[in-house]
Amino acid sequence: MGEVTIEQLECYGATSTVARIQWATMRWHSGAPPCYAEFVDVVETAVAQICNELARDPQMHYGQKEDHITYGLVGRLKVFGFHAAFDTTVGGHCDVVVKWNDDLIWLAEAKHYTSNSWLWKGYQQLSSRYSTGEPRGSRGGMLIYCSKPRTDLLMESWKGYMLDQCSDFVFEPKPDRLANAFSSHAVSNRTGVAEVVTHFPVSIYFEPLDRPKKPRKKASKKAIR
Amino acid sequence: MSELAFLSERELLMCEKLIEVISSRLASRAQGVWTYSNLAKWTGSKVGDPVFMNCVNLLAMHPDFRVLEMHLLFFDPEDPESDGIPLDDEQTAHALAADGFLVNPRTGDRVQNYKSTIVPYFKPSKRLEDGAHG
Amino acid sequence: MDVSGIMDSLRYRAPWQKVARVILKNQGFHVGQGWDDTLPDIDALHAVGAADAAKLEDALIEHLIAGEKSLQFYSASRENLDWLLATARKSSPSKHELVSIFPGILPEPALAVMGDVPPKFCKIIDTDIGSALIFVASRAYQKRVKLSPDSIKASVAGDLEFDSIIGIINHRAVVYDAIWIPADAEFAVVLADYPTDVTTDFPVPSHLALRKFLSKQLKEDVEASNLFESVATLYGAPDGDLVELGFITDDDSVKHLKARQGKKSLRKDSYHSAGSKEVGESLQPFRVAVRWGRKLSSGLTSHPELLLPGTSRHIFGVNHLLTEAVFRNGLNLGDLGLIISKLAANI
Repeated sequence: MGEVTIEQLECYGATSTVARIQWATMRWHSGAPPCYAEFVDVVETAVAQICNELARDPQMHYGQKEDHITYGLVGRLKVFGFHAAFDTTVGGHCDVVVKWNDDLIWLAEAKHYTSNSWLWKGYQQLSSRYSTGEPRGSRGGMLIYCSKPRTDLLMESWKGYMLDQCSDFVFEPKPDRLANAFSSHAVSNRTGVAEVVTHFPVSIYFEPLDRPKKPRKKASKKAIR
Repeated sequence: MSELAFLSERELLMCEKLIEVISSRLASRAQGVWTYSNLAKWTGSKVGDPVFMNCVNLLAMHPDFRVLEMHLLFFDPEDPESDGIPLDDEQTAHALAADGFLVNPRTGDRVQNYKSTIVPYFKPSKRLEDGAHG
Repeated sequence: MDVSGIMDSLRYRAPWQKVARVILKNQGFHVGQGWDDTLPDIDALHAVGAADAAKLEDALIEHLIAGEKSLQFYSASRENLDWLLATARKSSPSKHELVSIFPGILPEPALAVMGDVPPKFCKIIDTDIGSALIFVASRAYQKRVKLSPDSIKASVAGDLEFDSIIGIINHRAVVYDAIWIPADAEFAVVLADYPTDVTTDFPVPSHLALRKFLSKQLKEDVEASNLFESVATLYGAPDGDLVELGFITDDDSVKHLKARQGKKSLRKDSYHSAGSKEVGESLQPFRVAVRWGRKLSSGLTSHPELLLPGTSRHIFGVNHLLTEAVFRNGLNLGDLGLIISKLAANI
């Protein structure tokens, strides 16, 4: 039989992250919907993949507004086959909503990393206002657009800030998802169900090393006196 | 940023070619069977070429641009003359599930290595058919 | 017969999707995904009480008579047929050990010991719509199986590359044949067992044996009716789904169309309907298969399918004799009755 079989498609699906994501969503579209664990795994793999793609072209995104970057991310999720939407109403406005069959849901809040308190606002929006707290809506993400260098230090700082706000957080590194990514585990205020949020740092820091530096100003005579 | 901004120029061209082929086949009486191999042949591509695969998958999955639906044909290894038996929705769901299986419609036994006996093919999505006949 | 014996026989004979599943559901059993998913639940029922077991056995017997058969029709006077039935009712079944397994099966090693056994009279079943004389036989046949090229690569020397490999397996099967005499009809139908995975000559020994039996019982040499006229009748009839068609047109090219299993009727196929409009009456069919949907009292549907396997020689040649019809996915005597009604006018 010279035709492509499901076995061959599965093998193709193992050749790259993109192929793996596509094979999963293709199966779901064709009548084999996922369980929540598989849904979250594939969504987060896709989000991490997109974050890596964004980070490869930092000059394209440096200085862009949050909404602009997030809109493009949602578009990319749709290309992967997800039912993804931007800025829909789920208990309030939510930056990213990914659903399957109206049954499985993954939410994300997107923020430029300007300060930890700004991120915390986003986290609270995600956790208390948007997350349904139901088992099939208990997973979500923070998309953290880092236009400053040293994403690793930014994430450590962010974790420290989160612990200062609530000492019950438990963190789990997720380097397999994305460099410096981690997940935070907490209990939903609404329903008491465990909530897990994966924090995706997207490095859009851009300062080309070969750009000529500006000459230093001479010290004024006034300053010396 | 456009929703399709992530597509390369090659991918955009491939999508155009695929849509052209699909539209002309839909209009003609000889629709053919839209397997990956046939779609590759009709667009001058190769199965396994990531550009081709990405585009077929996009057209079968994108929530806003979905024009294809994947279905499955079962070739019974114990019936070499078989033309392929289309699987119904329930059989498809079981075959594609993560821990899937396939029951041979003839014998009622589970098919060993069933994934090598199933060929996916595409049909126009409802949206495309409604558009074509509307 | 106990329930597990009935299930073994059903599993052996009945196509799962279109027949066995429907029989079990029709009897009120829960049906899972395939036999391995279904049988444990039925076994666990223990409580398939005697009444249900009897109904299941009756369903199996009806399927033995009517399921997966090659048909031939023989005209005879009603008087002679009634006499044949009366004689059969007085006859004892054959003493051959194979008869004792009715309506069950035997494992192949036990069959191998017996070797080929020609059809042996087993019993007569009388119903409101007709009577069936049932025969049991044992016959060897070869089965073709597709193998994965990788599976023999290691054992094949050299650089041979195969695209596909076909294996031949020798099997031996229990064969249930029947002679069906519809109530008030003036013909008998020989139903020779014809499993789906055998070669086309498999039913021939049964047809020869049962024709001989009929000739002896009716005291005249009987000849199978010519069914070729029914090809055009079935092709032109509005009911049923046309699933296979062989035909020629004025340009003398031979065409063969087949609707993929489970799909639409060829009558609705745009390629065929445009073509047939174009050629009109010069389209001469020689091979036709039609599938019907028959609603059962339970609300389920059976899908009996009838094939008249003519060849282009029936049109080109002098001999227009087509004596065989192939009956697939027959559930029971109701399906058999439907099929016969489609052919009766030309018998």
